[in-house]
Amino acid sequence: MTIKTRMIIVGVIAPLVIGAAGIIAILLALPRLPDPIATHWGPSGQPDDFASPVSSMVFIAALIVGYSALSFALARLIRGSNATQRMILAMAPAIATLIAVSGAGSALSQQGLRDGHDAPSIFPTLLLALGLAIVAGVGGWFALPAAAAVVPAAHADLPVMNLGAQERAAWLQRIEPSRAVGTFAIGGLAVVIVGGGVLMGLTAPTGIFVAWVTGMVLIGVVVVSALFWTVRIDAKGMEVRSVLGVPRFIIPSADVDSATPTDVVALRDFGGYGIRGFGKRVGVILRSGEAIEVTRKDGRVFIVTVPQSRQGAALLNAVAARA
Amino acid sequence: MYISIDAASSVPLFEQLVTAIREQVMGGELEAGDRLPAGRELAASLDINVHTVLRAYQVLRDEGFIGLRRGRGAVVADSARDYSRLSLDIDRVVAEAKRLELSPGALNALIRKAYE
Repeated sequence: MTIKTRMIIVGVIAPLVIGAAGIIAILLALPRLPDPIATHWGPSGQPDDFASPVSSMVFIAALIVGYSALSFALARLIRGSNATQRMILAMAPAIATLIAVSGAGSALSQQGLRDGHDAPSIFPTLLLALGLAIVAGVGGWFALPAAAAVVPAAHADLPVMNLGAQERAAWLQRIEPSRAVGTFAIGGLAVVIVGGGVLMGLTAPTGIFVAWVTGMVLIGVVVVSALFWTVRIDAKGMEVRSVLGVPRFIIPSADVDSATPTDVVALRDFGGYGIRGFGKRVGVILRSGEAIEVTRKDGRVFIVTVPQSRQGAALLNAVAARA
Repeated sequence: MYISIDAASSVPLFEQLVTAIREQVMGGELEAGDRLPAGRELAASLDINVHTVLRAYQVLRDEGFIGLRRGRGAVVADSARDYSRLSLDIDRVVAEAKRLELSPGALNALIRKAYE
């Protein structure tokens, strides 16, 4: 079964089947249901909104078809697989279960009642729906592949730098996000910090204000450390280090199987920017475009978006051959 | 930035560094305002003494290619100009010298004399 098929089954077919089952259950019970039925419950467990059973079925169908369409688009759009995408797709059966079980369950619990106002509390149904949704989500998660199948680059295509026997080389690059992404991240952070700070300073007690400022500074540090990095390739191997020193990724030259210059599209291939990926395929992705893809001898893959990737990959291959 | 040195060469290491970085400034791969790696970092990468790197940086500063500022490290100087015409002229002079089978040392002496 291909990755695409599995994505379609988990993200589209499973939720549609679950939704259909919920609707069929309501249909079968339809003769014994009051009209209107209770469709919404207040915090005390008393029903506070009512609608016809048919509108309940339409509601279930619309939500589930909508989410399935989204997962279908996602499955078509994205070429590999990554954690973000896996999460969105695994959510599809979970959300479908939550909607179908709570919708159908609440309707079925009103079987035989004359009036929807007498409907029992929604809480037991909701609890059951949540439990089943978690099971469905976890099942969906594990039904999806952990990472994209990596097509190993043909070794003939690998650029390898010609180094003399006594030659030592170092390749260093600073990497940062494109202006648009950087502006968005830092500008957004500034707006939140300044705007929130003013708001908090005016309204919140001092203790909360201080805690909030501390939290914001920490978030600022994390954002900056995720946006600005240096990449170094030398005889020791490759080091990709955040401007603050941590986090950093080190691949000793002896662990390098191959390094290939490649091209990435940040949103399509990794679902965003920063440290991305999961399991065997991890990337420091700051922009779309040139990148070096390093395959380690144990099969794990590390990708970093960096200019002059061909030169960097060539040097890494050369030092790996020597190691 | 890519820098390679040859430990077997008779040219001193710091001079190899100077040449490599100067070439990149003149070739436009390094632009005014670009930061060079910290001396310690470059030294560790190339497995050479940090003083060798710092000496190279000092030479480059004396030549006007980089500025050395406390805290910011070595930065390609604004005064670094467009050397593309000079590079072309040098290529031409070297080609002509090779055609005449002039040694590098002799060409060097001629240029030095003309300069002074």
